[in-house]
Amino acid sequence: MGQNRTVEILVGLFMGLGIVALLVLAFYVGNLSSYNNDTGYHLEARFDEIGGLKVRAPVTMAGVQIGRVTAVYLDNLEYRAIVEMKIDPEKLSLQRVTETGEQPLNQDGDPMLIPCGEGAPAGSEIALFPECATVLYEDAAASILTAGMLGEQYIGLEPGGGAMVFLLPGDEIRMTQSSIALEQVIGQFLFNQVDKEN
Amino acid sequence: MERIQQLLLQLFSVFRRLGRGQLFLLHLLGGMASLITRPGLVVRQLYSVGVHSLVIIVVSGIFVGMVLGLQGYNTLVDFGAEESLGVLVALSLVRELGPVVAALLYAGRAGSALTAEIGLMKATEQLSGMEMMAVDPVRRIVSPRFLAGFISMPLLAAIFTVLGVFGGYFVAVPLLGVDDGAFWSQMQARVDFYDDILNGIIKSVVFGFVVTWIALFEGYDATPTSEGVSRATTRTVVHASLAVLGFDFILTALMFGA
Repeated sequence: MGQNRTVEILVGLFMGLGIVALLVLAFYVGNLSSYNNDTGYHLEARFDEIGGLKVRAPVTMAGVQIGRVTAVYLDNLEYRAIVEMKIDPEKLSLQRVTETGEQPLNQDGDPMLIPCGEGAPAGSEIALFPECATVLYEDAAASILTAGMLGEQYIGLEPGGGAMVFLLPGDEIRMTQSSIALEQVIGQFLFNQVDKEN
Repeated sequence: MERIQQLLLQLFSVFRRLGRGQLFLLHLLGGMASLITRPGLVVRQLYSVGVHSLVIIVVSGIFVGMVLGLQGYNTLVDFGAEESLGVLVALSLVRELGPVVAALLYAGRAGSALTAEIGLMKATEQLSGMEMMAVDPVRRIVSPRFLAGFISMPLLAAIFTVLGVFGGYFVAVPLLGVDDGAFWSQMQARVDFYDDILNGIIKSVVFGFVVTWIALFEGYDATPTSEGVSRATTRTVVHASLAVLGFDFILTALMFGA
């Protein structure tokens, strides 16, 4: 009986160790923890050339990752690439805006950020847009960047600021900059050199 | 003429063994259902198959990881990319070395033991004795061992991989001075759960199935003499290792091939 119990305990330890190893693999070595899927809002952008951008490539702002690319496909009418991305609202929050899509102002006339889900602060008489807008302005820009010289490609967002109207979730970012192909840059450089010599 | 005849006979005997192996597999899978009522049998086999293999898996996992760290560093440092050492160690372990080396060790440690045990049972007529008592030896002896091997192999491979990663970490960070944060963060950014880790686990499940099957069949099919048992044990290690490497190529081509 005692023998049997030791066997069972050791087998239990073995199974436990194996399962812990699987969990470490999934969460510590891998990136399962960054797959919090269903939360997040979509944005899309059209590019003339996306280079080597892949699904699940990071979307960053000021270098901080705020989302991932969820789909890449071709626009059959314009022959441009459509990139869909999902942004994590915990990293780039949603906000309440006025009926005209502008940022609400407080009594002093300064713009204020009211996170989505909260009402207007007591005392202010601002009619708020019933839906949530992003904190990106309408002239926000998306560009395809490369990590290092030869690294992976990712999307960098800039918030814009000339327009005072905000993008809604699902909107398209209109200002885009395509990926820069190293071959083209080198080709252009050589071409210019030849021009100079003549 | 005589030679051709012999060749044909040999070919037939190869096919016959293959066929017997398939039937044996069906028989033992059929015996799985009766294990639900007797989980104790499986637990005892998990002990001898899994727990006893743990030492060799732990030690070799750590050392394989440390060697990978050292060798990878020598190459990567030329390109100033030693921060990618974590990615290198983790990807090679998760995708290939973890499942494959663990399966080879498992074939040598547990597979040979399974063959020798069952072969000796056959040689000492314990299996026929069971049949005399109307106990199906495949159900009573073979099925629990198969299930235990099938469960153990992915767990052993996972333990091997994790310890390998930590072995690589130990060489890279304290010994070679790679940046701690870059080691982990690059690894976490580049190792994908579905593409890399899940495929590695699928590999180890397949290897566990194949190696345990070969080991049990060789034991059950052994010539019931001491020489026959010894030959069966050797065959287990050779065939199981070859099967692991062959299946690894097929699975890799399916999973990571373009």
